[in-house]
Amino acid sequence: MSDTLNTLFELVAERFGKKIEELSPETTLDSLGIDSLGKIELIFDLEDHFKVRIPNENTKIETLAEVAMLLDTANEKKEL
Amino acid sequence: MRRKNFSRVVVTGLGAVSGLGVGAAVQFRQAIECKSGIAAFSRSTALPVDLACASLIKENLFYDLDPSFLSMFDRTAHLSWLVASEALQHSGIGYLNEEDLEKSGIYWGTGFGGSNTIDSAYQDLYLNHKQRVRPFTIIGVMANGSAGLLSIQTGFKGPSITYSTACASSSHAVGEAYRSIKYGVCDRAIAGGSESLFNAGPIKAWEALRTLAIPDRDNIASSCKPFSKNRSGFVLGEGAAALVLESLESALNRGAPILGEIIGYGTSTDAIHITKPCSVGQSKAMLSSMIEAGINHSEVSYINAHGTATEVGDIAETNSIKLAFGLDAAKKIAVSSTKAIHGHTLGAAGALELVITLQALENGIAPGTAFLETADPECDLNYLPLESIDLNIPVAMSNSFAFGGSNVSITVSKLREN
Repeated sequence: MSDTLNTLFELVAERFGKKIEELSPETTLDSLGIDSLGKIELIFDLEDHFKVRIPNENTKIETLAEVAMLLDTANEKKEL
Repeated sequence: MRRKNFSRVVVTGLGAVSGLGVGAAVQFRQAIECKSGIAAFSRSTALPVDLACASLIKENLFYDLDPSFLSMFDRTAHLSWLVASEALQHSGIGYLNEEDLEKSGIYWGTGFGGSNTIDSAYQDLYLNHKQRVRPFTIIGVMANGSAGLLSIQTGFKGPSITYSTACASSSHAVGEAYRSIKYGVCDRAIAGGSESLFNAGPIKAWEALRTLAIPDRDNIASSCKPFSKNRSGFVLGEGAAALVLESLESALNRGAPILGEIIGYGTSTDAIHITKPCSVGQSKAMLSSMIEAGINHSEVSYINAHGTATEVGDIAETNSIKLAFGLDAAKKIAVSSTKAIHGHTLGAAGALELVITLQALENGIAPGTAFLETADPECDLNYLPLESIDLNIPVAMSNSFAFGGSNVSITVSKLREN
């Protein structure tokens, strides 16, 4: 499992009052009670934490694995 | 249309929070004891402020809502939900079917709206040099955030309207809710207002206007002295208050407790000066409230005055009461300002003071004006100095007069036979 995903689990668990064991890459944002507005707020905090910027058009994400992939992609672009 | 076709409007639930404490009953208890919630201002702000005293909510509040949902909204909206849920519980309103919900409205007032959220955004931009603000900033700032939160929580699908008329905001909200039920738009409504603006920007703005009280160094809790010779201005307060209004028919059908009846709502505008009060305009609001109520001047036995403790405001209100009631009747009315103890809660003030007024009516006690040791000779009505009195109050009035020249007087009574 990637470092990004592990960090993401820690952040999500803390923010939404979950245990890390309850989370998996397939966990959907819907199942965590995160609606469209909640996604915007979550991405905002993740951008600050990972010091990256995710373009607005890339916010169609459903699972934590997709969130991690988005963060990794943004990080790679930053390093180019 | 004949009057008998209009619905009578009753109050079946109250909720409130202020520097006096949490809950509607606490507000009244403190009011009849003339016990002040004003204290030295100690809340941290982004920039140093000179504010010496304020009436702040001191308790940690429990909202019983999901924290991530709550975090979208400003503290102003949180306070709104706190008092609205208290009022709804008090009223005993339970299940409402879809048709009922369509006839249920939300009428809310606030002066500054989401002050804490805008201040936080400005801190991020100007002090912390961030390039962006939090995504929910708009939701927190918008003045109707409270009404939105209340509608989501209650499912009320009738009108939801937010009034921002400075210190008369929540009085307009209650009055317009009353009208909506009277004329059949709604069968029930939550009405009230909320204010929480203890942030550097608004505090500095109020300081600059030079209307705030000079703190009483001997007893800081007594810094606001309405109608006193040595009054020096008002003390800012934080608070919220809500009333559940219903058609009499709706309340009787479900056997609800009836706390009082709203019988008149008078509004007027001075149209002279943006801040200076006008006795003529104020008296017109009181007169039109009494005309709608269909009562004689002598029937009003208690007035909860606007009474901010400013030099010009208290004299203007004294004169406006004399103009509206006539000198003889005016001298017989028990009048008090409870702002001496809960401060000026601005957009929440009208609803908070009406919550106290309704309890005065119900309990037969007129709250005194705290800290009124030496009256200003120009404020020569029966201002109930220092102590509350036992008084049968069949009819009472609550005044709210705002910057912008907006005046509101609401007349309430015990439930009348017809």
